Amino acid sequence: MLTLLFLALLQEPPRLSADDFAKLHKDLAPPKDERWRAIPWQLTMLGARETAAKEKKPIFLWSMNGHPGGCV
Amino acid sequence: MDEWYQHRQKDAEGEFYREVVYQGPRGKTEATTQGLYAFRADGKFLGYTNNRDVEKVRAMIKKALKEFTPPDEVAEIKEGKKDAYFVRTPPDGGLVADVTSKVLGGYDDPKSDYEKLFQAALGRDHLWIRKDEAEALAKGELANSLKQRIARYHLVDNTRGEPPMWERRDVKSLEVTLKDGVIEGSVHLETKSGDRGYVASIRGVVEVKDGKVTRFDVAVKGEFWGCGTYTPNPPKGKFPFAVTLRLSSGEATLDRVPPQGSRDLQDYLK
Repeated sequence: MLTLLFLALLQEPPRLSADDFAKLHKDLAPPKDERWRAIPWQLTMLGARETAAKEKKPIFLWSMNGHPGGCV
Repeated sequence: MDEWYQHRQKDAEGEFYREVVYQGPRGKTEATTQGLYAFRADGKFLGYTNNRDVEKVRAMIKKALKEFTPPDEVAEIKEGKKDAYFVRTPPDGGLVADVTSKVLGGYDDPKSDYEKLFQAALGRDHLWIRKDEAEALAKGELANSLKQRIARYHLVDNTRGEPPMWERRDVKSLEVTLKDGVIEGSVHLETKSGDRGYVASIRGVVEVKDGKVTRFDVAVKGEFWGCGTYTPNPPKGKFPFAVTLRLSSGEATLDRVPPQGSRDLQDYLK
């Protein structure tokens, strides 16, 4: 019984302290000054088309499997 | 955009997408159309590359700009009825959280700059929280549905590509409590074959003001192992991996990008 308990404890990851949490949360925060996020992206083709027609500009499309602005 | 949507949508949005991308070198295909495209508002194709090398992308854009002249006329496209199967909007009255993930170590030395970028990458996604779950949070309760969604759809290694999500049966244990504004617990996720898993500790802080959740910060850290079809080349064996969540400001267009897991919307929001 004690052996099983010991093995179970070995598998448990160490608990996150308040300090661990704060550091990790800060370390994984996205940088605030990412240039790619400053681009005026549109989430729809028709929205981009309308803006491009109005502003007489071409459209740059970034299309991926998994949204490049949110997933991978 | 996520081509999984536009490529399949049976509406004006999908039709315009296909009109454009089918002019590219991949042609008319049911396989992936992913890549970087340039085109005019009237649909005229200007360029394409699926290479992420900065110089190659820059060359494609330069060439497209050189060839570009604004169309004399852009015919109106009536949006019409949207293909409801592909519509994704954050839950009314709910919350959106930004999710980030990172492999914290264990990689061999990178063999290229590209590999180096992947090894240091921050995975990103959004978590959608239903109205009833947000209301429960405001009352100091952590809904089981929210715990399950975070575990199955957000404790995934999406730092190298599209990750496989966890099946319900993969949740071996999920013990999380919310007490006095502090979230604490642990999670054990593992596939049936054992080829992929994550055992981690969870800690977070919830703050409420005037009955509304004003802070939902969560950090998860533990050992991950394995990978998926589209997330190859993880560190060997078990490696340290972390995920964090924070309420989204909702100010940027990109804050409205739906969660990767919401492709299976019904299961995601269950």
